[in-house]
Order: sequence, then structure tokens, then C-alpha cells
Amino acid sequence: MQEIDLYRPSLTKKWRPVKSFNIKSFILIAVFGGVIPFIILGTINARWLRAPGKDISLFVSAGLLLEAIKWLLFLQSSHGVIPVDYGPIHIGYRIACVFLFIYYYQLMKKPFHFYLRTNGVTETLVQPGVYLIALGLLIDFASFVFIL
Amino acid sequence: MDKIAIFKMMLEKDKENYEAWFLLAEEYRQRDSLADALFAYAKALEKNDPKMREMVIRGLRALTEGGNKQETAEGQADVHGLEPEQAVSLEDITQGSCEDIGAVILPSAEMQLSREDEGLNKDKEESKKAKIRVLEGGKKHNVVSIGDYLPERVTFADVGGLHELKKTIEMKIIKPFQSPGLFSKFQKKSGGGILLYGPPGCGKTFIAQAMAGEVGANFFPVHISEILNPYFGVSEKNLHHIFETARASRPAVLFFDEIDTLGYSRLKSGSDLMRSLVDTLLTEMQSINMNTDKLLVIGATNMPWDVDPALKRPGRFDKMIFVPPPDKEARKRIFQLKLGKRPVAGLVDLEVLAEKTVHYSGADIENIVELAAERVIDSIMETGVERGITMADLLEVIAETKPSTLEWISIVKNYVKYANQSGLYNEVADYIRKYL
Amino acid sequence: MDVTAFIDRELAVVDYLFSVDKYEEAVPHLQNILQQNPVHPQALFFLALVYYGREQFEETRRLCVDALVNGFDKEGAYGVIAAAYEKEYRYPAAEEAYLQGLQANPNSAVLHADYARLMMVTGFWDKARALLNKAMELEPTNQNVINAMIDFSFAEMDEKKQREAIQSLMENGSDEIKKIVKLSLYHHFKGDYKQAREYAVQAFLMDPANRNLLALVEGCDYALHPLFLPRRLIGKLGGGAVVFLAIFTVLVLLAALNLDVILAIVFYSFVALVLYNWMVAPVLYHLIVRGKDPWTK
Repeated sequence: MQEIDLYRPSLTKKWRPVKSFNIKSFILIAVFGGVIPFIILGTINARWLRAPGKDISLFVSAGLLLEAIKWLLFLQSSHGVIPVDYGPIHIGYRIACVFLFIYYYQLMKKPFHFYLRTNGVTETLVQPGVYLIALGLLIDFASFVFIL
Repeated sequence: MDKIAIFKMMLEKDKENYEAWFLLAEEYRQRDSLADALFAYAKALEKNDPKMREMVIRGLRALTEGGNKQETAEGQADVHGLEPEQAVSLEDITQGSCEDIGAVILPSAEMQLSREDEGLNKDKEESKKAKIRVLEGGKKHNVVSIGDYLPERVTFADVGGLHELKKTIEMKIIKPFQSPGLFSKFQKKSGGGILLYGPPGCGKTFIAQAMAGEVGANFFPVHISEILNPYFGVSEKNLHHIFETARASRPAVLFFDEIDTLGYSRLKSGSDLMRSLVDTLLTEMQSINMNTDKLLVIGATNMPWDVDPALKRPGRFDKMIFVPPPDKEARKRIFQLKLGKRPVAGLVDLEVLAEKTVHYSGADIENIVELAAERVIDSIMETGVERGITMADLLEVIAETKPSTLEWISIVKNYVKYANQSGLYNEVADYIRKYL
Repeated sequence: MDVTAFIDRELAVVDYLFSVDKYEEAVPHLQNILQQNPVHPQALFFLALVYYGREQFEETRRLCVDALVNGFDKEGAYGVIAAAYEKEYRYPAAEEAYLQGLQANPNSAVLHADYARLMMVTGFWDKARALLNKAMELEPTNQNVINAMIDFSFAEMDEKKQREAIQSLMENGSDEIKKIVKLSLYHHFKGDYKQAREYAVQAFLMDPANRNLLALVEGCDYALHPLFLPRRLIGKLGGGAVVFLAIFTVLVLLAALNLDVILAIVFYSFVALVLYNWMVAPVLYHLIVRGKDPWTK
């Protein structure tokens, strides 16, 4: 572990206040909005909570991988390479999103609780949540149109 | 305690206590310490108050007259080879010590006794022989009573409204105090501790004064600064002396304003001084409980929950009395008093004012009148037209202010809601149910 | 009485009034002292604390600086300056004050603990931990240090450390209310609302003017109300996310098995549960509690 200099200022000009959304609510973003909105919001929140860069990279990678798999399956399905309809792929994708959320929650649980018990308030998720879910639905629609 | 010492103590605390200077002067005058008396009179005169000036002049006159009389008495006594102290009083004569009187009567003196039934020798011969005149000494009044100079005694008649409260106090405190016989017969004590609690500014101090007035007792208000001392153990000693003084002046009422300061809950503070003071207070209260006759200890507080629980147990402040915000009648009276000395224009309907100031404390009402007066002064400054306080001014101020008692009531409301199992705050719960 | 004796006497009164939390009542005595000696460092510092209580932080800092200039103890003055900055969310300035204080008094456990709290709030949790360890090393029985340690262990969700710190507070702390509040929070965070409520009520009875304690009692009442039984059950099962996942899986399985009727029942029941938990129960609670409140009748 790196030695911490207790008497050197930490709150320099680069410092930004720590804050967070209620990360439990991200499950709604993950299920209804899909991976892209979840990655956007999750990354912003992880940076607010000063999560280690490695954790953020792992989360983003997992999300992108999941999104890529979805597109691959859609393409293969549309070309008849695999005998699976869009419906089951879509449901499978949503279930995978829930697992991605669980993974994210496990990564952020500690800093989030730390933040919550020291600062006590969370940012409201209503507006960004609605916008991001709308973005997710738009991406879904675009992918559907593209595949067709 | 010696009176001069008491006055000096008072002056040590407040050098501008001109009444104390005056009383000190009076005491010195009685003791014939002319120089000291003059100095103290001069100090009392520093208060630019015509009343005080008049009292000082009277005192000085008495000083010079007393001095003259003293001189005369001394001269006369000397003639007969006697010390002035040997000049007997009227009391001695009425007790029939005529042989002794014979030694001090003057041949030309005429005995001037108003009543024949004084028990004096009616014997004509004796009468002839004893045509005496009693010498007037300088010490006409041996005792200077602080009461002569203090404001008039306050009683419940001076407290407007609040009939329920007055009735409760009368039944719980005044009657037992006035007729302790009945109570002692039933093993009930007549003195002890009473805790007055209620929202700030609602006249707890005034009620305590009125209680003292009702029972005809000496009133000893105690302030924390009279007790605290930086030296180890002195604060506790001071507290003990205060109780001693009150005991010595029974019937007495010892009044601790803001008792939550002196008797702060030991659960809430780790201060050693505070703890030992509360311990001393508890010991003193306990001894009062053993020796209750004619000594009441009254504590007043806005925050009864801050008072150490041990002080609220039986034998200490075991009677808790809720002093509510003034009722309608009391509010009318307060408005009347506060507006009395200010110029008022037009008709001021006290009934309406009292109606519109429900839950307002006495201090709130005073503030309303103050604000209204400020408003009028501002308007006079602006327009140059002089006028008095109108009903409209008062109503406007009332509309802009809120009763300060509401915050206190909201706190106590929650307290009662969550834990009034012991029924300690039933009175306040009843009040809230009734009026809110 | 000479001036020194007068000042000593007034200071004794002020000291006492501060020990019983009567800060405003101390003001006339402080003014008396400052009339005699306008640069009395202790009186200036006490007055700074009064202004802090009044939330006049600019004046607080000015008085602290005056006290410092006139020789007041740097640990106390810098600590209050930093706390005044913290109250205004001026965290970098607060840090600077803490560091100045620590430079003047490197062995102050209280300054280490207070600086650790600042680091906790600003997200430097590792530094906060290190500072607290240092504070514990310097003065393990100091009540401020123990309290900061308890708060840190609550935030870290480290139950072992929580128990240790609370044990230490019970042994060394003199403020009964703080002890009881920490016990209440300990049970609250553990989800034992019944016990938490008992402690919270005890603390509230000692200090009913404290709005935070009232909020703690009400929070426990809210969590314990029968209307929130489903919510508590969900919590026991692992939280909303876990239940959501489980229901979602069940729905998918039912869909795969073509059990449409059961699927519809489960789906609508789930929607009803969500609506009940997040909308109906809070509204009902509000209505029932208000209805029960004798003061609102």
C-alpha cells in the first residue's frame, strides 16, 4: 500500500466534491435503458465516488462486451446463422444487464455506503434517468431498424 | 450575617447598585459612623434620580438631627454622671422598673404616657414623684428594613388572569405554607421545592415573586454569578451560604431563575464543577426537606428536561408547576401596562389585541408595543407630524410577528408524545390539547 | 475587587456556562471581561464559539484570529477556524487551517480526528483512516477521537471495529447522550430498528430540543411500522435489486414454459407490490400517523 503523507494538502485545485446517485436505482437504468446508458451513468458515478480506475475499466469493458455480444447475436439472428428469434435474445440481454448491475453494485457498494454515511444525501436520478432510458430505447430502436 | 457586610457584598457585585449604597448609608447612620454614612450617601446620589435624592436628603437630615439629639442626650446624661446607653427606653418604663427609672428621671421632667392602663404605678405619690420625660436617643429605629426601600410587595392580585395557575399554586403551596399545622398532622410538608416551568417570557419570575408576596416571606433571588468562583470549593461554599442566609431569614423564598443552569443534568455534561454544584444543591435541598418549615425553594426554567433528574425526585423540586403563556385577561393587562406610559392615539381596543395575540408571551407583547412605538417614531421622522400609537400600528405589528412560545410548545409536544409515561408533563399536555 | 480577580471570576462563570451548553447566557460575562481587557485571548476564543453557535462563521474566524494573535492555544483556535470553514463547505480552506494547527501542534489527537472527518466527507477515505489511526495512537481515550472512529467504522460497515469503538466510548466517554445515540445508530445500521428506537427515545428524552434525535426516533418508527412489513422482508431477502432479479427470472421462466396465467398473476402482483411499497405505504403511513397524533386532532 502506498504511503500517505498525512500533512500534505489533498484538496488541491483539481479536487472536486464527492457525490453520488443512489446506485440501487441503477437497476432500472440497466433493465429499461440497457448497457449504454448504464455504462454512461455508472462511469460518471464511479468517478464521483473516486472508485479506482481499474474497477471502472473492468465495468466498462464488461458492458461493452455485453453490448457487442447482443449486436453479434442480432446480426447472426437476422442473417439466419443462429436459429434464435430477436425476442429471446432481447430477454437474455436484459437478464445480462441485471447481472452487470449486480457486478457494478458489488464494485461500488463500499464507496457508496461510505459516501452515504458521511454525506447523507444522494443526487436525484429522475431527470438523467429518464433521458438515459430514452437514449437506451432509441439505441434499441436504431439497432432494430438497422438489422431489418 | 452583618447587614453592612451584606450590603458590601451586594456592592462588590454591582458597584452601581445605588439602593444598596443608600441602605449602607442608612446602616452607617444607625451605627453613628458619620464619615462612612456620608460617603455612602454621596455614592447613592450618583444615581441621577429625584426619588433617590429625596431619600438621601431625608437621610442626611436625620443624620444631622440625630447627631444633635445625640449630643443633647449625651450632654444631659453627662450632667447626671451617666452614660447615654443607660438612658432607658419606653419599654423599660412600661415594664415597671421604676426604681431604675428614678435614677434617670429629671427633676423637671413630665411623664407623658398616653394610656392609664399601662401598668404604671398609679400611686399618686409615685405619680408626683415620677413626672418623667423619656430621653430620645439617636437610635430611634434600630433596624433598617430593606423592605422599606424595596418596591412594593408583589402578590397574586398583581398577576392578571391565569386564574387556574393561581388556584393551583394556592392549593399546592400557599395554603400549606400558611397553615402548616393541618399539613403536619397528616405528615405533609409545608415548605420544600417547586419547579416552575414553561415557555420563556411568560412571567415565571413574577409569579415566584408573587408567591413570596402571598405567603409574606422574604424573597431571595439567586443568580449563578453570585455562586460561581474560580477557586476550588468556593462556589459550593457560596451556594451553602445562600441557603444559610435564607434559613436565617425565614419565612423565606429562595428563587433560582434558570435552574437548568445550576442544576444541569449530570448525564449531559462532564464538567467537574457542575457536578459538585449539583451535588451541593441536592444536599441543601435534602436538608430543607428535613427542616421545611417556612422555607420555599423555587426554581424556574424553560427547559425542565435539562434539569438533573435527581433534582426532580421527591424531597427536592417535587412539585412541578406549568406556567402557561398568558391567557386573554393577562394579555389585556400586559397591553394595558405596556401602553400605559406611551402616547396613544384614538381608541385602542385591548379586547381585540388580546384576542389576536393567543400564545404570545408577555415578552412578545412587550415587543409588539416596542415595535409599534418604533414604527410611530419612524413615521414622525418622515412626515414631521407628531402622533401617538394607534390600534392600526399595533395590529400591523401583530400580523407581522409570531408568538415565540410556539417553538417551545413544539418541543414539549414531541416530548409528551414520546415519553410522558411518568405523567411529569400532564399539565402541559392538557394545555396543548385544550388550546392547540 | 481588582481587575484580574474580576476577570478570573467572570471567566469561571463563562467556563461553567459553556460546560452546561448555555452559550448565549455567557455573552454578558464575556463582554464584561472584554471591557476590562479587549484582547483577552480566552474571552475572544469563547466569544468565537458563541458566534459559531450562531452560525456567524466570518465573525467566528475573525475572533479566533484575534485570540491567536494574542497568544491563545493554536490547537483550539485553528480547530474552530477549520470547523467554521467546513460549515460553509469551504473544504480546501478548512484543510489549510487543520494543517496549520497540526504544524503548530503535531501531537494533537483532536486535530487529527477532526481533519480525518474532513477527509471522510471529501472522499479521501484512506487518508481519513490513516489520520484516525494516528489520533488513536496519540490519545486512544479521547472522546472526540473515539467518536470519529465510531463514525468511520459505521461508514466502512466494519462491525468488529464498530463494536470495539463503541466499547471504548462506553468506557471513556462522559456524555451520556452521545453514548446512547451511537448505540442507537449501531443498531439502526444493523437493521435492528426496535433496539435502535429504544436508544433513540432515551437520548431524545434527555435532549428533546435536538431535531436530529427526533428525526432518529421518527426514522425508527417509520421503519418499524407494520405498513412497511413487505419492505422489511425485501430487505431481509437481500434488498430490492435481488428481489427484482428473482422476480424477473421467474417471469422469464414462466414465459418460457408458456404459463401465461401464472405469469400474469406474478407480474401484476409484483407491480402491485412495487406500487404499494413506494407509493401506497408511505401515503397511508402519513395519513395514519397524522391521524393518531393527538396534537393534530
